[in-house]
Amino acid sequence: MEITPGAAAGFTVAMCAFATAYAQAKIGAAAAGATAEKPEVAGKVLVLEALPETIIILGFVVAAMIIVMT
Amino acid sequence: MISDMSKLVIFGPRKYLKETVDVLYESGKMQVEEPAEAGVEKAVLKKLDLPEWNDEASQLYTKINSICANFPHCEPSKPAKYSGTEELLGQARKIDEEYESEVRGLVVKKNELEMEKQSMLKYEKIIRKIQAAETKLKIAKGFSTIPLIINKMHALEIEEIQKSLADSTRGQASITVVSSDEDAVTAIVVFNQKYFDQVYELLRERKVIEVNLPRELSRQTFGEALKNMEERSSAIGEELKLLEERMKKRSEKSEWPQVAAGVRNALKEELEKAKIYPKIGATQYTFLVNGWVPSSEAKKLEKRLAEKLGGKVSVREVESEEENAPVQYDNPFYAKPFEYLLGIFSLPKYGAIDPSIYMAFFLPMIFGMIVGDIGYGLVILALALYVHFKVRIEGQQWLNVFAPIFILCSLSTIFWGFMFGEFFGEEGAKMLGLHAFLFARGDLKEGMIPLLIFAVSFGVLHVLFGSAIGFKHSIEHKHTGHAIERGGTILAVLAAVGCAVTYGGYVPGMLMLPFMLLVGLGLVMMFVGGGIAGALEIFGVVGNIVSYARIMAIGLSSVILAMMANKLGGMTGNIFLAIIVAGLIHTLNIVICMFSPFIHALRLQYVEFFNRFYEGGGKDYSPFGKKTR
Repeated sequence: MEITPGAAAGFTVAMCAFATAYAQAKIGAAAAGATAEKPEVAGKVLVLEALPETIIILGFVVAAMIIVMT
Repeated sequence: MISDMSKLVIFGPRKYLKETVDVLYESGKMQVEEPAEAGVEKAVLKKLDLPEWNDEASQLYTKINSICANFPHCEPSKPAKYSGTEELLGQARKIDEEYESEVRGLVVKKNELEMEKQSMLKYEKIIRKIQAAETKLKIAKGFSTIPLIINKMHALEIEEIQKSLADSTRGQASITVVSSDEDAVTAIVVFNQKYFDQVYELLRERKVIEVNLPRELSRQTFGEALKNMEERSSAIGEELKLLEERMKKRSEKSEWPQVAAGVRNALKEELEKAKIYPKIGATQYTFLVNGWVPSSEAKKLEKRLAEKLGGKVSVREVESEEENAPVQYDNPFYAKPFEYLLGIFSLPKYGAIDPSIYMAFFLPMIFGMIVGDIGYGLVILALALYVHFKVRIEGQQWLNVFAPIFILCSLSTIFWGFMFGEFFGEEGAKMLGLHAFLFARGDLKEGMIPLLIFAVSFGVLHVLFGSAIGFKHSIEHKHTGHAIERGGTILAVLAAVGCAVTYGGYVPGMLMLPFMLLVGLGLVMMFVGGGIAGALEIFGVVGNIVSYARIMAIGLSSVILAMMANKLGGMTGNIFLAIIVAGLIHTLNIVICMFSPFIHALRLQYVEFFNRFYEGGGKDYSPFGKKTR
């Protein structure tokens, strides 16, 4: 079975999106609890919530390179 | 920039303590520290307790404050005059004694009427729902009803109650939910009267609350009770109005509410001053106060103490460990909003670098590079200007902190919009005859790689800049190890860029070997300066640089959404529909653009940039003094 570049790119983004979603779900739940106890940490936890987005961003970059270079 | 701080020690006889505290409070510049936990101070000095008058002052303040809260025009026309705390307490006691009985009577009456009105409203709401439900249920002869309020926590037990009712009454009782709000569920139990005892017993066991009308309405039907409640609510409204007019006239006739407000404010100040006492060390006859003052204010404070106390207390500047000093910013106006963002992350340590000015430059730049659309920039600018000049919401001051930040970000967005040739997407720019000065992001196949190279190149420059700041700071503070490590990082990264450029054929190939040797030298310097961890830091640096690829990724996602907005608008075939459809998607894109690129631009500052030089963990400067400062 031949895997087309589009399928490979899509698979890359999908797996990275799952990983990011899983990480952010965990962080978001913990962040909500932390903010409920200490509202002053809200800003910091917002930044922590954004950290796993690196995974999907780099996944997007890899997918884009697959599309462009094939 | 962080202001220089000086540590001052004020030492003098106990009898001048109160005046010293008054001067420090009025100046509002000293952050008082507790006495040292070691050495002579610990051995000789004891921390003071709160003054004896503190409890009484606190009680009087609460009483007078509640008196003032119930009267209009209760603002001081002039501050209270008193020579000492005892005289002030005397004035406060007088106000409390003279006006307590009269004012308290009025206030208690007003509170009773308001509570009764609230209670009426509450019952009225419940009874209307129950009455409506009873009408719909059509209660048969020989059957009765009991209205109930069930706590929302127990709402799931309603099915069990239903089952138990059916069992104990052979199916001749049922429970019907009438309404539900966030706190409770209102329900009606309909049952055959011959099972009255069983039903009451069951409900008592389940601890559900029967809706009981107030005593004066208990023997009435719901209809009669509602009518009487309406009349009573109206009468209460009239009584409250009369009472408020009476209180208003009372406060207009004489000056006593203004006097009371003046005494209240004076008590508040004295109580704030008293809070400093536990931070003061003292013996039987002397006291010692130590704290931090901005160096530019130290001489002024010394002069003020000398003027007020005639040299009876001694003020000296002492050496102290800088890491204990609090941090006060001293930045130009355009960098001040970014101090708030630093506060979210971590205050810089005293003596470390304050990156507010760098953030003021790089954060808007990165935001602009990601969004990069003239139209979006204009919309964000309009919103930010409106919020900055017109919006003031109590408790939402953060809006007015972020407005100037977004003004800068929107200007950068407009600039990069010209660079990329985008006005609500590429199509909009083409319609206006604009073209990209740098390169067009819209051509996904041709533009993606140049954009990625651009983003990563910016990352290299940003990270190198951060490393250079750290290197300079280390040299200035003679941290040799850090200086060598940071110097090695800069050398390794520059040499790696040289290798990449040589590989790409932009410079002669014979330079590859020297560049590689420089990379090696850089790694050796990192090892010498920071050990194994220092050498391994190169992987962190590479990761930090690659992270800037998000500028390309998030930017492209915004471009694609704008493209879709324009395409879908075009597909409608009608200019008005096109504007609506495209406008909605562009609005969504702008909302996303204001959040996601901002968070990522901020993250690039906090993680990738600050990692090169920033030392957090600083203490906030909160001086002892009036809170209006």
